[in-house]
Amino acid sequence: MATITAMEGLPKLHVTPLASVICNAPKIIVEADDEKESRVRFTFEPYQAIRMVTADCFDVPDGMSIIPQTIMEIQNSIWIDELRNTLKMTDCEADFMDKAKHFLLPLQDDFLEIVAWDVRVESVG
Amino acid sequence: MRLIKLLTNLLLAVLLALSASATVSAKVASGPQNLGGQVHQDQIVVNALMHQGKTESSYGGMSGSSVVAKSVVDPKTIRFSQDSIKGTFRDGRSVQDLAAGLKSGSIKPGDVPAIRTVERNGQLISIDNRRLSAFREAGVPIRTRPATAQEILQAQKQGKFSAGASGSDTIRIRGQ
Repeated sequence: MATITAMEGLPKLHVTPLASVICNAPKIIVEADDEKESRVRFTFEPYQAIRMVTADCFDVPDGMSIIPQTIMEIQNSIWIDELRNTLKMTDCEADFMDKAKHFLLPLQDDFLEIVAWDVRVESVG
Repeated sequence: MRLIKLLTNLLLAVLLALSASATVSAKVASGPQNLGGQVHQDQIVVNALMHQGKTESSYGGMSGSSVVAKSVVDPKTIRFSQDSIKGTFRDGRSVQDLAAGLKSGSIKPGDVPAIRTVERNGQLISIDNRRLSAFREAGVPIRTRPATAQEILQAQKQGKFSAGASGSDTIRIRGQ
């Protein structure tokens, strides 16, 4: 069963993070305000999948809750399973999905989900 | 004998009328009137809309449909569920433009969807904070409706009550 956990070592997002999302393969770059209103850049690299859903259409499965202002990881992700199954059909020896993590970012009006190997964070001017 | 029968029928008719009236009052009272003095009773509009699943209230003879009780209230009596909002709506229009339009009369309050509210400790809290902010700025009465249990649950799961359990009387608009 999928669970949501907070990603450790990442700053908390502002309630109104005024985020921008740039897709620049193999990176997804998200710039947003942290809770102290400092601009922060999160780089997800390499990414395998991305989807952004407007908050009104985003369903949080029963038994799960968003951790406010927090970058989360979805453990035992169904989405990763689906991607892995498709990969196995495409290339039965490929294993790069084994390193993939399913990240979830609450951006107030939208929820951004990224499947990527890792994320790094830096301050922006 | 005929007189007794007539009187009995009259009594029955009165009892039936009283019973129907009490039923409607009880059902209307499950709407926003519980909100203690904040609702303008004379402005209460009970719209028999076919909002399936929007509310558990329903009136007799409307099987399968439901009723959303809408009220028009002073926006200053409603608190915000969040401590900050973005200055623009999803369609790109700004909160300021809506406020200005309401103030000038170029936008009719009735053309703006009613905001969804939650009652906590006798206080109304909005989960549609941008619209509330615009109406407050314009000083125009706002239409409200009680959020459904599903809508409240969804807002809670999405962490939308950032202003705490009692809500906030002020809100910051960011990125104008």
